[in-house]
Amino acid sequence: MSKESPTQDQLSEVDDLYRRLSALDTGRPGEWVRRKVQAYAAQQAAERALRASAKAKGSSSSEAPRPTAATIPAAVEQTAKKPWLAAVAVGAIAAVALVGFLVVPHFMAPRDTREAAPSPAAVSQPETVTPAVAQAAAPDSSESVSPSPASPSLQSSAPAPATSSAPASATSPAPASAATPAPASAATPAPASATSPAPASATSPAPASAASSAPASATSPAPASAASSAPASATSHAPARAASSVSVPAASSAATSPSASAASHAPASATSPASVPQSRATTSLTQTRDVPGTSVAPAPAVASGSAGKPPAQSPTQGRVARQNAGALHSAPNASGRAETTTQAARSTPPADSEPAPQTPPASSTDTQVASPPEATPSATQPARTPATAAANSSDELCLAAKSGDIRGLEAALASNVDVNALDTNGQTALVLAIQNNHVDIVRALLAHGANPNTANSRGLTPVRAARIRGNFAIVTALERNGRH
Amino acid sequence: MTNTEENDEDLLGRYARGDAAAFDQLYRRHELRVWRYLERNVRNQAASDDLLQEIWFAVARNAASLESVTRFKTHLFTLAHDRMTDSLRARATNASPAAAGRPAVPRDPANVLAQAIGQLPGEQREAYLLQIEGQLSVGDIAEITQSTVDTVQRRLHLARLKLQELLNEKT
Repeated sequence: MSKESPTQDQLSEVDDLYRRLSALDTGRPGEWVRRKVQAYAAQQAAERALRASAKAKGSSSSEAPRPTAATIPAAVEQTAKKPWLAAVAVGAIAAVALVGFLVVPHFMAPRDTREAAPSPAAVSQPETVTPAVAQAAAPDSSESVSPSPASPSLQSSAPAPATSSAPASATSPAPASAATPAPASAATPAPASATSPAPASATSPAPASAASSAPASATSPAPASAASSAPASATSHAPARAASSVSVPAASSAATSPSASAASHAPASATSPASVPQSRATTSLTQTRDVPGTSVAPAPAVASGSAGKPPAQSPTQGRVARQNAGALHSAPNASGRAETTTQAARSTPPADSEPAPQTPPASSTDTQVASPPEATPSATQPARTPATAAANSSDELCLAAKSGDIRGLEAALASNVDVNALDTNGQTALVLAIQNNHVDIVRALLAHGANPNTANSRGLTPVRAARIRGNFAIVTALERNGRH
Repeated sequence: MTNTEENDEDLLGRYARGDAAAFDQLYRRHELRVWRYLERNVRNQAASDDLLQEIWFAVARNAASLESVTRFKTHLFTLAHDRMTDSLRARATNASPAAAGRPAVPRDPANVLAQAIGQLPGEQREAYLLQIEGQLSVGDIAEITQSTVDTVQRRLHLARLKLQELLNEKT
């Protein structure tokens, strides 16, 4: 510039030269890019149209839409002009249909199969006794094998008799009722989370995750898939290898022989040693690991039991139980669910109460199953510290933000949680909502004072995340709220 | 050919409502410009192809939320800028130093231009390419690059000066 400064004409000549040379440039994007982009666009259009038609039909079911001739969108018809586009659309529809056929039966079948046939898990548990049997046959029946753990209803009743038969029980009728909902919560996660949060997370991640989706999942099994895969595995039978194995220990512990139950009750009443039940419980834990389809129900029961009882549990037991839980969780979900599962597992324990990891109590407390749910929360309270409580609530917030659960978000916000807090993964709720394209959640968070400049632990700011996602609506919302 | 005169935003709206043909039209309209912007910045044809694909995937995926966009082209180049920046950053940290600065495969007539553009400082090059390939205003470029209008004007001026010098040397 210190030389003679070129005129505007000269500079525009540069542009002309650039254009001329650029026109000679034969470089072009690969043809495959165009093909892939167009195929993807057609697929997106087809999916969007499918969704729109499904909505229009007013299908309220949460299951995957089943494509029919009538639901094939206009976009697909348009793309039919191009054979490859039609093939893509048909493939997408077929995949959706296949998923629908595979998933739906899981929601339909599990209960019946559980009740009908005794699960192999039950067979592998020598100690387990049906509550009815326990009541009727008394101690002798301790060795008898029963399918009880498999059926939730049986289980639910199980704790009641056990406790009533137990000599020391302060838990008789109340516990019975208390224990009942717990097992039942396997099918309907809500109660589990409500009554015995700690136990749920402690023994089996499945209930824990169920607890995370608590309100919605209480009514239907579908929520399981919505909030996290874990509950799904818990409720459904086949995939339930993980859940079942997790819960099995619980079941075994819950329905253990009268003696066992008596012993375990004892700790509750602080009278007799828990050594016997503990050992049994641990063995059952290890045994049940490889046991496939058992019912999930017992898990919560055990959980409640453990919650009620703080005492003797060895750290190793705890570790084993935790490992079991973790392994079992991830196992069934090996495919794509792993992330959600772990998240659910991570977030849920806090949601309930942190003692969760203490699965061991499950072993030691098996019989405590009978302990009333009312007692459970109070028992778990002491372990809860302000720091963990804050972490829990921020986890809840982030989970709701990620899943787009506006009600859950509002509930979390109502608990005075820090909107800008990082969860255990180092994510902020705002970034999670943006990454998952939940515009309404983003707006709600901003309205509650979320800072659009707060980065997550990796330094990703909300604005950056929005730009990467390419969601202009969110970028605009952030700009309106004063991002810098 | 009234269709070709249909503006980008209308095409995007049509696509969001399920018209895949509108997307094809939109894609063909901007494909080359976006690709050149990427390729001349990244100087790697394969990486540019990948980025182009990612960008248009994002457009297709978020078409519904983009319906409210008033300037599609600006948004498109914003996406391109962001993805490219991320990609360059990743390459800077992951790739070996030798590979990082490797120029694209030389092409005869345009090789001169590619080399000249490649010798511009990054910020000037990007501003210049956004203007000449994206045909964006200075204000838009400032928004995309998160800088001020004055800064962009200065970069553009310096880029032209340097480019003139380089092209005169080589042609």
